[in-house]
Amino acid sequence: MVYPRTVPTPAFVSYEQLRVAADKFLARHGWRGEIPVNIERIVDVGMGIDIVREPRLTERIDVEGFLSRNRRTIYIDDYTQDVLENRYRFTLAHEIGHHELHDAIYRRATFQTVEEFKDFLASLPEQAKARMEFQANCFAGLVLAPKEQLESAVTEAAFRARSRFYETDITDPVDRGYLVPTVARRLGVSGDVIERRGQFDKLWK
Amino acid sequence: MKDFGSYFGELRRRNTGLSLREWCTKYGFDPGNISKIERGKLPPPPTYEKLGEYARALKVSEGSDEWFELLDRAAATRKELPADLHDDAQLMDLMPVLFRAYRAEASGGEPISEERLRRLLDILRRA
Repeated sequence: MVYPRTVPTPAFVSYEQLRVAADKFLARHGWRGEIPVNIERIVDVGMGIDIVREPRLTERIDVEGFLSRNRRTIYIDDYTQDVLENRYRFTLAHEIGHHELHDAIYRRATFQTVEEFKDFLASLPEQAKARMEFQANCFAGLVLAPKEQLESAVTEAAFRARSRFYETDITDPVDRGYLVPTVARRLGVSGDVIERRGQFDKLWK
Repeated sequence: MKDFGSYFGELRRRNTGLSLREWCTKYGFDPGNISKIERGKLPPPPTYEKLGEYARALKVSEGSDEWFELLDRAAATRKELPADLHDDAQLMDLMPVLFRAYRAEASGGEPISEERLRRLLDILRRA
């Protein structure tokens, strides 16, 4: 048993609280508004966390990365790091979400190896796992697409569309289909991250 | 004292401000190997030339304190005496004193005298 029954479900944290946590995290690590956010440098240099390639991690346990129990290492699937740049950056930010938000759970975990981490995941109560993953995903989106930079990138994308004689309506999912990839490229994330951030921040209304 | 790999990572972070991947890309090193060196999974490079190549990329000036510390930690990790001290006869004469004193202290005997340690340190500083 790698997940003691005494470990509580992670506390409810509102989206605004996650935003505050993400903004504080970026400020603490000297971020000055540059995009794409250099999450790799923040993790490696700023936090002193080792980023270690793990061969075929996704194939073996169906995750692209995980944070070690002592929170000093992030293991990353080698293919994700080599080929899927946006996924790699998001995975780092996601694991940092666990680092910042789920300290109590990691302190009580006992996993040491990749296989034990898989057991740890499997032993988590569904509600705890869902909440942890949701919070870490939101945190990652907020860190990689900070509000001001996201809004600015959306405005710029709409302006560029207009300059090509194409008036876009951001509330129209079809028009967003054009804008979102442009915004995503600017911020170095996937279109899904931008779509979700736009929904949570009510940018598409 | 930190091991060679930890010190290597510390220098990379402190002196260059680059992530491991960024640093390797900039200087043409293999990130997998450097990651293993930093985590102590690979030994320090065996040659002075290779160590010097890493040191320059780590922004460590030849002859600086950091330079010697890197060399010394590499030697210590390899369980060797630093190569530049091999020809120092006076220091080599003192090595048995140091080893004897260390063993004596380790087995509960008298600690190495300060005078002897100072003498040794003076020689090390001049080396």
